Amino acid sequence: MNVASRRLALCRPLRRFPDCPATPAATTTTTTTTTVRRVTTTTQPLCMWFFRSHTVTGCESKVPQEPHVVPTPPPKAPPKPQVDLRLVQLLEKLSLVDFANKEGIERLEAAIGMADQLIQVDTAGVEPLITVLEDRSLPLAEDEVLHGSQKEELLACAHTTLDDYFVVPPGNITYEEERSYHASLKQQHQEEEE
Amino acid sequence: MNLLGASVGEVRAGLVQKVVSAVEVCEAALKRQAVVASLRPFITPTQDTAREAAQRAHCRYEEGKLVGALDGIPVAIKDNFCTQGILTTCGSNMLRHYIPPYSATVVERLLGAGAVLVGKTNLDEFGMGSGTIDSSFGQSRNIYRSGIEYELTGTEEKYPTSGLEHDDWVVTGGSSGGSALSVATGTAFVALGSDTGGSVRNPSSYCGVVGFKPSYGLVPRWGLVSLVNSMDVPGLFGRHVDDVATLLSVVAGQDPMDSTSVWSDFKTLQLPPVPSLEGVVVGVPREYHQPGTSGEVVEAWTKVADLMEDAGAKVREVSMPHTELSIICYAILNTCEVASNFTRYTGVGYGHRETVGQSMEALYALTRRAGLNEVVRGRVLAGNYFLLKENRKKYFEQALKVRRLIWQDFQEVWRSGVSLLLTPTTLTPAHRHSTFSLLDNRTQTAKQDVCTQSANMAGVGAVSVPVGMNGDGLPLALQLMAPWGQDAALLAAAKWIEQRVSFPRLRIL
Repeated sequence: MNVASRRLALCRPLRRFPDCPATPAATTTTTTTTTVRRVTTTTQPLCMWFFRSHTVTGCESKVPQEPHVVPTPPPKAPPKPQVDLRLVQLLEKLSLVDFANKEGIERLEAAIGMADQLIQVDTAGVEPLITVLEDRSLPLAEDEVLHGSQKEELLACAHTTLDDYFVVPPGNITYEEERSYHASLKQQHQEEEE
Repeated sequence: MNLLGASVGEVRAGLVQKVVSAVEVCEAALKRQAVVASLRPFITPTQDTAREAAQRAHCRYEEGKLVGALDGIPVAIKDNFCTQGILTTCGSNMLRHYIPPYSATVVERLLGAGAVLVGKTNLDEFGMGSGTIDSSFGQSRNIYRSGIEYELTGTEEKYPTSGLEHDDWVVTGGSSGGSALSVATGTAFVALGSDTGGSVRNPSSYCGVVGFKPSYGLVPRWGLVSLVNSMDVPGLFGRHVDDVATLLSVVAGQDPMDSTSVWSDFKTLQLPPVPSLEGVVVGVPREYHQPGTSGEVVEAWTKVADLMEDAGAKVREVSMPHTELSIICYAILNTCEVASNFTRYTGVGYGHRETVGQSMEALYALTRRAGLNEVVRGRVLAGNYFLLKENRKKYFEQALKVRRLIWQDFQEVWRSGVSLLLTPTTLTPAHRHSTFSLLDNRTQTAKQDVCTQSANMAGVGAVSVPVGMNGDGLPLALQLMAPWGQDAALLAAAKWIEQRVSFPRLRIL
């Protein structure tokens, strides 16, 4: 097929049958896992691909020509997330990322605002999906040592070691960063109380 | 032969017939690195290691003792795969000096098949991002319209190839932007990336290469630095679908070190030379036409769908009503898993460590502040919020349930007889940096991941294939998805598309 006739083929209205058939139940797909489809050699030529600006007659294509717009959300929108001092301190204690400052709070509020859109989705009777491999048994390893004696390599990765120990400062002291946001919030809080 | 533009099969044939040597192939790839260094595909080029590996491969070819399908082939690996003895940074200050004492399983399989590692590629820090502009080692730039001279072969159309005005540049997409770029520029023939929300398909779409996310569990994750355990998948890049299939045959297969890896028999995978679509039922989900999709993407989508129908496939519109929820669901599940996974970064056993002495908590907090960027820290904070006792059911469990709804959308579609889904990969071609950087990381990923994320939710295989160019000279791509485990059929269909669209080949001058 030469190029000229191919271009013509692209310009004509897309072939479609007036009574666009409903899903034919006859089509079956076997769900073998790794078989490759056996191929009958075709005489289909490689064709040059031109993206010109001619319009496609959209109403006949299977591809939706208009964007899918989600219907307007239900009237009861959740309130704007309130991230207060107590919460920030708790999260910082759990996260230990020293992000209890203005920027961290803003990011958190934005993340919560986005997540709140999921609350109204009706999931009654739906089980949580923990893993997509839930339908099969996954192998567990035998309780035997396969890779051992890597002490030197592992200790070599650490910044500070002593003999065969990783060194850490005491864990029974609470971290208090005087200059961080939650400390200044605490101060504000106290000032408001006075 | 245009060596660096050839396929893996062509180069191997050349190596076997001794038309070219493994050392020459390696040198060509390393020389190309110098030409495109300003684009920053690599964090850590591994030139000496590459030369040694190429020399060994050369000896094997001389003696006729080949070890595998990728013997002597330059490959690049995203810098969140552990490589023994080679710096592995994940694009983060936290691991800036980290040298793993072990290699990821996929790395071992690659090297065991004779591949020549040319470098560790750039990524958004810890895989969080969709532009490869949030790496602590600098931003990667797309080869298209970069100012580096190239021509587009295999097309009679004229596309602009010059650099952009005002020093602007085009993003590579992310988070595996460096890997996509290394393949697009010819510094590697194939590359490994990781795909959690679209991180392989997104940059492959922007960089004009094939990007494949295997079904969850087929390719093991041992040694891939964890982001979201229930969605992470090592992803594959190549300029040709056949090359990606070869790479899959090397890295797929159960791994005793990864209990979420499953058995498969892709070792002898060979795609048919001329795939056929006879009897294939292609679904076009209407929800994947999101507001903001550019006209040229819709046009490409329409034309390929029609081509498939003309070739004997049945094409029909389907509905996957929970598609739009995927991004929000991901925003919750990702942050929750991150909050858990990232507790390992304390500076104690490995990685960066701040030198403070007072308390363990202070050490952790200040080390993590210094080592992790704001995107990462923000996600940890958000994740811990969603996992609080009072929030866990409302957010985390709700997200898990919505995940099942998204998964069920796919099940319904497969049950109705559809064997392939055809959608855009990204809503638009690659963005210019000037516009891309106007939005923050979270908003940007939410926009960019909308067509790719659901495949990670459901664990199905998905592949992005470049199908054409737009008026700006930037690649356009489409995505195919198939039922879990049907990756061979998926790649065969991708090859079918590749053979029909004759995507212009980029050739650096």
